[in-house]
Amino acid sequence: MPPTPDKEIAATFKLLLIGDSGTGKSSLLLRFTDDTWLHPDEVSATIGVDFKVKVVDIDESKYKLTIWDTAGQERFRTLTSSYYRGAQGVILVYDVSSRATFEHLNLWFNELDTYSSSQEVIKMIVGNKVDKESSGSREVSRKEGEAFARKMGTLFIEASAKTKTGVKDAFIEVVRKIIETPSLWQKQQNKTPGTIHMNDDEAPQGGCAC
Amino acid sequence: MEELKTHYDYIILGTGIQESILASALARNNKTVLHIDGNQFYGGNECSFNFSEFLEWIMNVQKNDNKAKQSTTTNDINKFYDSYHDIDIKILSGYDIPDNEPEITNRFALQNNKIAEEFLKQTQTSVEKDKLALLKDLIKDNRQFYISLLPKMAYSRGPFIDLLIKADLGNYLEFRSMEKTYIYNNDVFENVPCTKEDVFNSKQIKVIEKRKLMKFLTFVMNYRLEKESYEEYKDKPYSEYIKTYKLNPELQQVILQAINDSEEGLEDATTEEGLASTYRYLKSLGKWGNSPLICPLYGGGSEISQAFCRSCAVYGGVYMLDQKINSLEFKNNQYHLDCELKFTGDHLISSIDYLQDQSNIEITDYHKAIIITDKPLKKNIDISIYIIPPNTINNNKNRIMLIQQGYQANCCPKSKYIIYICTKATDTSKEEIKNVIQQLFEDKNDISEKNKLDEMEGENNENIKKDEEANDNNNKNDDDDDDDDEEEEEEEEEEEASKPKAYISVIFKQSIRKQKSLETKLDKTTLTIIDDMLPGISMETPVENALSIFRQLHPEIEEIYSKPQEEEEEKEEKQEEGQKEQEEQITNENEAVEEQTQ
Repeated sequence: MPPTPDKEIAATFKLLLIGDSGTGKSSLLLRFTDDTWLHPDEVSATIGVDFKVKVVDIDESKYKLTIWDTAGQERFRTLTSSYYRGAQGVILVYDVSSRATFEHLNLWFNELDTYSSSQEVIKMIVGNKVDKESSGSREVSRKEGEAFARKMGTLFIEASAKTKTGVKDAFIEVVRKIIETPSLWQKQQNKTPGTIHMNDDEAPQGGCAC
Repeated sequence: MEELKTHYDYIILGTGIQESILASALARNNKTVLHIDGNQFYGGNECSFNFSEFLEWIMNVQKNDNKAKQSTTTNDINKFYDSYHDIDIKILSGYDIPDNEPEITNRFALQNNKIAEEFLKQTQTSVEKDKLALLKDLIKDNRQFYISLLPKMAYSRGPFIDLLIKADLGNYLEFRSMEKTYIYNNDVFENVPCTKEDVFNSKQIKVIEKRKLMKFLTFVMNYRLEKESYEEYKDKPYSEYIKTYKLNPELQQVILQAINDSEEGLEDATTEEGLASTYRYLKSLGKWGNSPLICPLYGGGSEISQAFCRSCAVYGGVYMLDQKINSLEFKNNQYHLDCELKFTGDHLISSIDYLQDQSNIEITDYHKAIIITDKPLKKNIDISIYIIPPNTINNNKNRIMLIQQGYQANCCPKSKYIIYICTKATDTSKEEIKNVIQQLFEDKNDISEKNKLDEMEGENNENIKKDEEANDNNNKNDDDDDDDDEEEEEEEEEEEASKPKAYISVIFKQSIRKQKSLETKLDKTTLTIIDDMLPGISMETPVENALSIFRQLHPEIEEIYSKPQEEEEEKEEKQEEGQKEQEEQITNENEAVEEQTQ
């Protein structure tokens, strides 16, 4: 895609996905960024998805989102601390057809408390795979999900990466909340001078010292 | 959910930098990788700790050391703690005790305070109130500390940076330029000149010396083209070759001790080794700032490990930390690993921490110290290196290196600094480190906060008096500028006079282990043991080691990080789709969002 010129971007946000393996984090991400969905048989556990970039328009401003996937490191809770660092929004995903994944959200909140760089980080709980309702395999009711989110003081939505229900809304709502909380991101937008990033490798070449 | 594989091409034990580079390289080339660490954290011996983890590490080293003395054996294969010995802890005394402590309800804070108390119980003869108050103050900012067991920086031009760019890890890591290098001379740390600017601006170097130094530095930049000019010195000591440039002894010391990345300086290096080392340093100048080295933020080693591990995971590598390894056997041409789950692997790559038979290893000991202070060693300087050449502080035998990292390196809260000291272990090296600490730091805080306040008030009064006097003087003498200068100088002198306080200083011995030969009980063609990393400042050697191991394992792979074809195709596709995507307007759907979310 022709990159949007940076001057048109109002801000860049880092969003994360966390939650148990198999809750469909990658599917949610792919649905949101590429509008694709792969059948579970076709996707092996997350391979090759590091993060995705998407530019969204909200209230006539452009925001660049870098959305990070777990790369399978959630399976044994070995996510790296740099994964959490600098995130403004976190999407905690459970599978409405698996009670265990809902109950494990507590562990993920713990992990988030331990590693996230700001207490203010915006959290959204997503109950994924609501499409399974029709086959009668729902194990966590919408009410329960809502109640838990209220208790934890987070946003909540039910979604299905398969049928698209709620996916865009989940991401956009997080971004809106971030925009409403300038203290979360305004400082970080002006990176401390002197920080070197490898991506902008072609820094001024001062030539040889001698 | 996809079933977890139980068989892998490679089982890798230990998440140190070299193992992690290999894990990433193997996964990128479609090998299946199971990467395991016995510790709760990434990085092995290159790990970094927040403050409470640091205290726990000290306690564990002490416990392990005592256990070793009683020769009780553990059945855990992980030998992580065995490379740290003989730990000495000193905590600043006379820290001000707050009159009434605020009540703490945060569960992390409560837990941390408990660790601080436990720490004092185990490591000190009694729990003194001033020391507890100090630890509690430090632990308040627990997570802002990144204390490294093996602090590292990287040359801005060299194999490490090349690898990061090829592997596309730029998104995971941040760096900042090392600001300055100092060398200890005549009881002070002097700035080390290495760039043209430094040399020209230096007040310490005479013009004639400047010319000689420039001549030498210019030569080194092209030394490989002028082999004949050093041919006869090639295998002779570098120190002798340098003498031919007729540099004064101070500048000779700078070249041998300060402008290189070797563990012990270039005192014993041959001319060929020495020139290569000086060249590596000079080559990196001018890329990012006025220094050849860049410092990874957030504790370095562990961050670098995690970046490579993440890149391995993105390509399918499976990660398990905190694994107690019950058994590891080689039978029927496979490695059988029994930890939380059971796995098999065709190849085993193991950090020396997990080598069962430790009889065939060679050990080099280093004495090290980690100190947390309130002030930098040099005013307004954060990330910096300090070299103490032999025979400069109480006749120290070996070169002693200090690395300072603070808030700028994202390693500390504001106005705290970590200072790492390292020297090769000898029978006197521990004493030498103690001497250095005594020389450079304050270990007491005699004036309590209240006294200080009183004093400050007193000073203020005096200052007012002084100001009045100064005004009087000004009236008599119209030369304001002189007066200002004097004041500034006075201030600077004051700063110099008060040393940084060593809030906590920890001295320990670290064993750097290397295998003598590849012969072990296990089949050697499918087993790779990774030696410990040396404590030299830069990342170049470990990266070269890891890459050369990879080439031995897979000589058929030419380009380790070649872009997979699919990815390239994907990119092209995306370019076409881009236009559409951009036009997508999400604003229209806002109403729906508001309905569905709460």
